[in-house]
Parts: sequence; C-alpha cells; structure tokens
Amino acid sequence: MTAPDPSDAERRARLTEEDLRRADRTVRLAWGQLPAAHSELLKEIGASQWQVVSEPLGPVVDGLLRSGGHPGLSRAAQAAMVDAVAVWIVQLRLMVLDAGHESLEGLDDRSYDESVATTAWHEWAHALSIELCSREDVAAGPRLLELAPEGIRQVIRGAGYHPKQYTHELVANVYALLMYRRRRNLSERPEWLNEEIYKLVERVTGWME
Amino acid sequence: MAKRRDLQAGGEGDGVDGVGVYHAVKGKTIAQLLAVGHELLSSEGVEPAWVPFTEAERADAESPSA
Repeated sequence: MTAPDPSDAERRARLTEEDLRRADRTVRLAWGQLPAAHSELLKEIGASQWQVVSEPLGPVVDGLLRSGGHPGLSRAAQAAMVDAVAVWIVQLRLMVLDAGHESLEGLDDRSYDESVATTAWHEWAHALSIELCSREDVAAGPRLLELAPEGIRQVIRGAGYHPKQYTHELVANVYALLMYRRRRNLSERPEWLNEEIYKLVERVTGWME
Repeated sequence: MAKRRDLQAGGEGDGVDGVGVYHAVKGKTIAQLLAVGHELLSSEGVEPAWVPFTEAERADAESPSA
C-alpha cells in the first residue's frame, strides 16, 4: 500500500463537523431531486441509505464490510480506492461519500453542490443498474459504449473499467447527466443520447419522462 | 483462527466479478463527467450551468420526513 499523503492528512485534519453535515445535507438534497418513482425503487431494493465519512474510503469500506460480517478488502483493493470520492457497497447496500476528498476542497457552494449531487446520482444509478441489468445488458456493454457520446466513452475508457462494467458505467453516467438536465426542467431524451442507451436507462432506473 | 478471505477489486473500483463487492468513483471521473455534461448541454443550446438548490428544496431536505 502506498504511504499516506501528508497533504491529505492535513486536509482531513481541518475537516469540521459542519463540513460533514454540509456533505450530508447535499446528498439529502440530491436524494430529494430524484423522481419519486426512482427513490421508491431505490427503497424497494434497500438502497436508500448513505453515510458521509471523513477518512479515505479504502479502510472505511474494509471496516464496514468486516463489521457487517463480510470478508474485508485486500490491501490492494483498499489502495485501488485511494482516489475514490464515493462508493456503492453492494453487500451493505450503502453509499459512502468521502467528505474529505481533495476533489471537494476549495469549491464554491455551487460547484460543491454540483459535484456532490452528481456523485450521489451516479452511485444510486449504480445501485439500480447492478440490481436490474440483465446478463444480456452487461454483455452488450462494449457495443453500447460505441453508441455513447464521445466524451462519455472517453470518461469510461479513461477510468480503466473492465468491459463487463461498461453497461453499469453507462447507466450511472447517463443517469447522472439526465438528473443534471432535469434541474433545467429537461427530461426528455436528449438528441446526443442514443435511443438504445436511453431505453436501457429507462428500463433500469424507471426513467419515464 | 479462521483465515479471512480478502476480496479483490479491479478497474476503477469494481468488486469480484465486476459487481460483487463495491463500486467506487474517483473525484477526477466526476469532474470529467461534469465537463462532458456541460459540453453536451451546450450542444443542445442549453446553458451548461448548475441550477442551485432553492431555499424551498433546502427546507424540504431538512424536514424530518425527508
């Protein structure tokens, strides 16, 4: 495992209880933006809980898994999570946000809300995608990725995901952007989004607008 | 004492078999996604700016039933 980053430790030492409350409030606001059918669907699959933490997610997730009676994470897995700002823990059906992540430092209120809300929408879409995508949907990931807008393709390819993750990533990223558009009262299929991907997101998340 | 089986992860944070353990997202990936989203919104002729939460939305989020 890599040595702790001193600047990371210093930043985390400056976090206050108010910082954690702010992150929690923002996740709650993002939850409140979900169409009722989506939040109900998330509740139905037991995916409506979240936790805001101030520590790096690798050790946090390891501890949560072990506390829940599950095998923990290997050191390699914890190290691989070093840059993560949020995680959806499948077994625990829990979304965890790292309020001390460097990507959230120094943002103005608007950018902070934008980043945290988008992160939460992304992770909740994962919860639905993992639960509701079929094997055929997952198998179609590489083909579907080719149909995605170039920027989304680059984000997914650049993050180094396994092809088996492409469908889940597409659903998560597209859903987060659809929620972003919804803030502007735009909820129909955007022209930039391929119809097959849109129908997948509709089917998996219950997007019906 | 029984030896624990540590779980491995791959990709950006995908669990066993891709979905078995967790799914993490990097802060950098969210930043990139937002940049892409802004471009896509612009391509639609929509102002690519975040719509701030309203006071009413903030009040709703603070209510006990939220």
